[in-house]
Amino acid sequence: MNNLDTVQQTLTFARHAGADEAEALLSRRRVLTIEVSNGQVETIKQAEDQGLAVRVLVGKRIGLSYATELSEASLRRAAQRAVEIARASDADESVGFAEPRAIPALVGFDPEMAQHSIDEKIERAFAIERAARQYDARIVLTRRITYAERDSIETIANTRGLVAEQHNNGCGGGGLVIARDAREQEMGFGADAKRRYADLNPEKIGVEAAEKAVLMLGATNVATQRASILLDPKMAGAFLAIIADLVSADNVQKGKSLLAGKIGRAVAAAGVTLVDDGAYPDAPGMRAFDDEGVPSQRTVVIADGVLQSYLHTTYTARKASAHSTGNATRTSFKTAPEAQPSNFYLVAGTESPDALRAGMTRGLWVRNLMNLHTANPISGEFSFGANGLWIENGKIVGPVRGVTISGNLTDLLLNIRGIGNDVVWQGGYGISVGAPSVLIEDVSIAGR
Amino acid sequence: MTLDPNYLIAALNAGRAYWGDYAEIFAEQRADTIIVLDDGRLEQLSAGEEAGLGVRVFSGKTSAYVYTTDFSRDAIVEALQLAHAATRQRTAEQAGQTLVAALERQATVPMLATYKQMPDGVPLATKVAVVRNADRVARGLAEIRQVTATYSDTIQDVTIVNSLEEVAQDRRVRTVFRVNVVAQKDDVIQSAFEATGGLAGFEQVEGEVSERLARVAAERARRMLYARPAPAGTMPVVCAAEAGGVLVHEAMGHGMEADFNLPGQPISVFAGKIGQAVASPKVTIVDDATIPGLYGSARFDDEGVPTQRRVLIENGILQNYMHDRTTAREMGVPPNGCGRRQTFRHTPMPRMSNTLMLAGNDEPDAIIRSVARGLLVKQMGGGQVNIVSGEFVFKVQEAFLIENGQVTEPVRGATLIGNGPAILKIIDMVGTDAGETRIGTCGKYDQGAPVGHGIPTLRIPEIVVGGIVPGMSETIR
Repeated sequence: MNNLDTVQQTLTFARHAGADEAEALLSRRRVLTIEVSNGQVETIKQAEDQGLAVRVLVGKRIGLSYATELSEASLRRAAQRAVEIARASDADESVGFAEPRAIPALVGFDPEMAQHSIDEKIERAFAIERAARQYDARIVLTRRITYAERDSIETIANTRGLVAEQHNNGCGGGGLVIARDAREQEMGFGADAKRRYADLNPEKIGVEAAEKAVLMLGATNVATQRASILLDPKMAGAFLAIIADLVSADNVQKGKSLLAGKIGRAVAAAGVTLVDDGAYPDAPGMRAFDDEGVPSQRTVVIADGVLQSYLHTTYTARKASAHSTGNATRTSFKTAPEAQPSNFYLVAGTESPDALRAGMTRGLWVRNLMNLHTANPISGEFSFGANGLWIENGKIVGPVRGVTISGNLTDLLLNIRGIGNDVVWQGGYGISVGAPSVLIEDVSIAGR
Repeated sequence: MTLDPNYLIAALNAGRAYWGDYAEIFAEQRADTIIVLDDGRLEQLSAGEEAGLGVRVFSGKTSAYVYTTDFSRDAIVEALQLAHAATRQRTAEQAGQTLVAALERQATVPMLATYKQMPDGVPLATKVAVVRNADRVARGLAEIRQVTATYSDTIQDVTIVNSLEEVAQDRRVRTVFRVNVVAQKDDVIQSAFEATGGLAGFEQVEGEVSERLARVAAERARRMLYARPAPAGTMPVVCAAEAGGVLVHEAMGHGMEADFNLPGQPISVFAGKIGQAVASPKVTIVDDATIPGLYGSARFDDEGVPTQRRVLIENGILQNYMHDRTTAREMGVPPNGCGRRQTFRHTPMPRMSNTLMLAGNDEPDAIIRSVARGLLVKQMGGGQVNIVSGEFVFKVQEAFLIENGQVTEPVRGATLIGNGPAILKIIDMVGTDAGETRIGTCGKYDQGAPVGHGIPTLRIPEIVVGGIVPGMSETIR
């Protein structure tokens, strides 16, 4: 049975089971993961995976079930279970499925991916490792050097007449390397993800990992103080992922965001513009439609420091009398859609990262942050572990580790004093973010 | 029946040309129910079924893994063939060898749970009541603004067969309740978290369990509203027994997983140190997957090896690493039942189960009295660790100042930052009170695993506490 028949048949089973409305999403994935380490192939993982999610409405009550087996009996069971679940749920005026709309024509499938042999792909993993080792003699070990590909087909239909299918693929690489000198060892991580086979540069990933590891050898600590921080693009991107949670309408509507009720207000420094765009060409999260079948669009979230919009699903949009922004995202076919960014990016500034550093009186050029998931989205309080390079009067003094940077996200956004011109996209597995270097003033740094 | 060991053995036999040095089938069937109540409303109610299998083939040091949701014999043989081809070695066919079901062997491995109430027999409405009751109790207290309550149960059945003629079948039923409460007074917002979970049926959350935990979390969040920001700097810290062993798990346990300690590839600071002193003589740490009912327990690991109680550090001396089959083979030791995987979509690796620091000789009260000025950590929050350098950062959910040997006022926003192996060496007091085991989901290379952890009261004489540094800015709350 083809994909469209499978989802349509599920809708029929749902109606028979007593659903007033229904939606079925079939996700089929193929994955390839190659792991090498110290000149040897360790693991090759290949798979075909599938899952079907069915959501139903019984009156104003919604239920979700799923199955990995696509036999008629299994689909019927899933549809019946979804109806049972809906009957046990709370009634909610805002629940509902997406209306059919025109889907943008995006090409998310690169046929070149399938034209290369597995040996060539193994060679890409080895290229990451070689580049890391050649970067510096102190790189003594490598770990889980990975080349990975995914290929996914999503087919969605609902009883409002929506039918859509998209086929995307992509590839990426990553790895952990270890640098050692006479006194200590440090690790560095490199990663990149691309839509097109030809766009991935394995050597760059290896050099990134090696550079990070070697840089931190001999790191010391600093005294507890207030100073500036300069986030490199990857760490600025990690910060964007936190901001993304604050502008998710799910969190806003539940009062779980410090940005709730602040549309039209200055929430960040002038010059800060944040955009979500599911159709951004070749970005890691590019997609024609979201996980409810809503077409991708460009949404300006913060314009020149002023909050403009939250990110919506069909449900949050109905609740707020707005339109879905095409941000419904399911972490897997087992979970309900939530408002999450597609490709979320900070618009580049004009200064080079070196110019930003040169302007720092005293502070930390942040290369790694730990514990980012612990920021409090409501109060804005955060305390992250950090390492990087200590800067005084624009000059690099040396590596620093074992410090925390703490404060409040509200202050952090308002204290942004510089935005670089060096945007780096990262993602491919979860969230896709693009950010340049960012300079922030007056941050609390706790050290020895 | 798809998990029938005889069927899987027959399929493995049918593909015996593709075994390489070792071949294995991990077949899994699971049913999950998740109920999330958030913002006073049932936000998610879902239930479903998954079934799949993963085939692994080793040739020399290279392994290949192929997984599928297709249980047909042809699909299994094809998966073996694909995996074998991927290992790129043409090992000689193991002539004539076929597997005989060794079902009697697994009968000697004890069952760890009795599952008084299988969750699939409990009505949905009864499960929904668990989260509703928690919400009602927490919201009954002043200053409580938000409650998120989650109930989940999983029935996971696995069958593992391999070319060593081993068969393992395990049923893991896990029932979990979690609650997060947010309290607000004027501009100050604080949250607190409680959870319970086990290798257990619905009995884990029956009665007043969810109400009690919701009240504990709500009262803690309210207490923190009136707390001043924690001091920043270096000071002694006492971890209370109820704080949980997340620090031991993260900052020390991961470093004792064998894949970070392979010969010639010393990633962890514990590499090559079996038999050596790596901690204060007061420290004994075990990882025990055999304790009935605990969240991290299982009868077999996900490679079909019976689980064990593993002594990792005894009186400060490093005793053992945690192994999966691969690391055990590389280091020439028997596997000790730590090979775990999240689902059939994942390859196994060495993981912790229930990681516990054992009780020592110091009276808990005396430990607190010994501190002139420091921090008492009552509840740990989330954390992260760098295995290579040993660096860690942990949030503290609930803390109090200790002044002149007395516990005084609550403080909020504290973070502990330090080096795991260095901390292990300086722990200078360990309490007589083995604490309650708390639960968590451990993440390693993007795979989640249910774990337990616990500690007695202990004293770290010197650690960096990251708090808010007072400065010129007036925006600090």
